[in-house]
Amino acid sequence: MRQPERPVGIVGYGAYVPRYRIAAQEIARVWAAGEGALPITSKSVPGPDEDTITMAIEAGRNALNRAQLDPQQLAAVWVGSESHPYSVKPSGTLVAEALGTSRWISAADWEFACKAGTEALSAGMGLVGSGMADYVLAIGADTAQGRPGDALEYTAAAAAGALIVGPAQQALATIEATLSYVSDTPDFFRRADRPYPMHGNRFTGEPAYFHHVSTAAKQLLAELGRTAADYQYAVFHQPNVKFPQTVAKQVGFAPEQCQAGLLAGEIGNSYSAASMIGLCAVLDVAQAGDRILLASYGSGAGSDAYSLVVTEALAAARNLAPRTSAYLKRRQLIDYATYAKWRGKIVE
Amino acid sequence: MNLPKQWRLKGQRYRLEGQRHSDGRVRFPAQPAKLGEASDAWQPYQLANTGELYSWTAQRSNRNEFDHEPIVLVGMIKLADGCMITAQLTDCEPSELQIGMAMEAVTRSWGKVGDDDLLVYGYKFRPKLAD
Repeated sequence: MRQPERPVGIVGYGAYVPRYRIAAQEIARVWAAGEGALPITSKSVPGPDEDTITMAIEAGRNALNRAQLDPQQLAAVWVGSESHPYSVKPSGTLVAEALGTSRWISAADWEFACKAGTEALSAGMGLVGSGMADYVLAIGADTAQGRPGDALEYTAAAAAGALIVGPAQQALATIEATLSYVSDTPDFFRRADRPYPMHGNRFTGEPAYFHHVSTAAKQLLAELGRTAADYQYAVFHQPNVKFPQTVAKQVGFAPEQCQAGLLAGEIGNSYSAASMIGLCAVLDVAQAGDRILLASYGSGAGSDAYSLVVTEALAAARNLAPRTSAYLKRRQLIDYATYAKWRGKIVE
Repeated sequence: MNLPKQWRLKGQRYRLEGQRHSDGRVRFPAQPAKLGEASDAWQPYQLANTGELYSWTAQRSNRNEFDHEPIVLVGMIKLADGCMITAQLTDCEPSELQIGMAMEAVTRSWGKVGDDDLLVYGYKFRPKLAD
């Protein structure tokens, strides 16, 4: 496991979920005669004027408000996503300009399927933990693509989660340690010129998601000398509801430890944002002294695991920006035709 | 496409950046100093990002980049710092709008320009999120 020389933590956090939802039953009505088991209840859909950049900006503003930082204090703005609006032109510079940062920063885009955001988080720990910088904004944001009628279309959703890494003394939750576990596993991929990703159906499960997430989480617990019983909360990447519930059991967590951070049933798989907004939802309710285990997953494949401890500062800071539940509550259902129009699935 | 123009306007579009005069007047968007005016008389000023809906309308006959939208909502928002701004409204239906309701600024897509799709972003307002 890795621990920075200078202790670090999350000094600000912010979630964003679009207003619109499509029910999984509505997708099944169009493609499966309304029959078959559904992996989630509904998924979030970006409005016609939303993309990864706009969602990252709002999540970033929420994180800055909670951190009570001047944007000029940020040393880096990093955006992890697999749906950057441009193939060539960074999202990070535009997000940084919108937030009002200094120009003397690092601004970049990160890529590792659904764990692009936590890659930025780990790098932020390195920059702050080494003393090279005081504050780094790491964002995971996605407007995920799903081929019409494919299993992915039921879950591929949209959201953003933003975490500001800073010195542990100012943290709302300190990060005790992290580790990453990766291997070359072709469970899910998309070439640059293809509109929709390819996935390996059942191959995305055991050798991909479950192996990497459970290995990373178990190894971190082992190296810290802990068990799941030492944690109040656990957040796992959530491509659907069943996967995180199953991996939680494999690692030793009970369902109630995962409930607060399990949002996939309501909003689907928000890819790079999924584990990060799960953590945001937990930080909305956690108490000082609570321990949180976070384990992301990115296809291709790998998992980043973190152990966090909530501080006394969280209770006051959580009220400085909308809670994750505020975004979940403003739920407006749309039909498949509207969804297809907004997501560019109607070809003229 | 006019790349320099899009680049020049990003402060006002992304951050509601206007100007405030030393005598207290505020203007938006920012403008160059007039002849005879001290070059530092107007300083950068970021407008308040919350306010109240002063008036609004629904445009149902739209052209150009809005022709795919059946209804475009446009509002006048009286900002918390006293300024009035006209902006497109988002994340709402006409039935949800009421004069005097709390609004907040968000950064959203304004569309694409040019054959190669330069993406343009800017401010819109939505009903303030209820916590």
